[in-house]
Amino acid sequence: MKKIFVTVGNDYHSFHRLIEKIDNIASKIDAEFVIQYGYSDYIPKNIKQSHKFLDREEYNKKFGEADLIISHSGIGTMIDTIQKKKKMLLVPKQYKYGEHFNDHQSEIAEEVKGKYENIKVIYEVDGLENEINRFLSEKVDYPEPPDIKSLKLVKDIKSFIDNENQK
Amino acid sequence: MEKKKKAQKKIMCACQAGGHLTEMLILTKSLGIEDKVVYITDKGTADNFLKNAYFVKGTGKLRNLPFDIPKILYSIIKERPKIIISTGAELGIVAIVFGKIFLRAKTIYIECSAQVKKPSYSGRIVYPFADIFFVQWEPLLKKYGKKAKYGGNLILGDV
Repeated sequence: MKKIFVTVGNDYHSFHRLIEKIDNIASKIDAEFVIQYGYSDYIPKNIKQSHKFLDREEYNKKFGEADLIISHSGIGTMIDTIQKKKKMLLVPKQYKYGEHFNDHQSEIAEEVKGKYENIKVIYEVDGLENEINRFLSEKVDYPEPPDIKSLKLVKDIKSFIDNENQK
Repeated sequence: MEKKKKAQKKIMCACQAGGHLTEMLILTKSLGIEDKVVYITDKGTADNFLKNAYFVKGTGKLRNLPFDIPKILYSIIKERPKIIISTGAELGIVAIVFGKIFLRAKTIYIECSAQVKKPSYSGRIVYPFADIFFVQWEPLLKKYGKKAKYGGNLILGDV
């Protein structure tokens, strides 16, 4: 059976729009769900494996086992998805629903969308069930994760630290 | 005669939990210093795997700040880092500003990659106190002064 891991991050704004929807459609999808609902006001009733927060080790394990990650558009989750080559369905938290203090999650989602075939973005949860089923069975290519060590940002900071160490 | 290698100066990494911390850990790992630095971050998901770390309540709630500031101050005064690195949010502001003023530490700030078009509050406050200031999206450069640099993105690499 395919595995789906759902996470909505560490931020204190509730993302019950996504959590509630997933809890309601999970039984109709042929997959095992694990959910980390964080600060959601809605606590899953139907999904057995639901946790407020998993510890890091358990989180990494569940993340690693999953065939599909469903997540808010958070940086941490996105990095893990790219590095670990997972399929990811991003649902940006939106300001108009009171899910974050601005719409930066949509901005970053727009930038990532199209660059990674394994990352899909949806804004509304109405069609989530179809979207999940389609994406689960789809074949996608996983781009190589970027070589962070070769970035100018890292090289500059490294030489700055080395230089300070010589003083 | 072999040149004697000087000891690593103490580095402190201060940032909020979540994405800020993920970016910080990618950065310290890429720099090869992940086990050699002291972290300050929010109490929660990180406290069972970060060994050398101080924890505050934090996590983006401003009402926690009055309790957190003394703890952040205590940690930087106790550790006396020569270099302070932050990837953002309130905790990073406090560490960089106070570290600069009280310890004359060298300060490095990296704007979180979640900031695509608009500068963050943390970035705007920290800017005058940072010796090195990076943004992760090139269009953001024009929103800051000359000091700001672009050197790639910790999620997407070079974009």
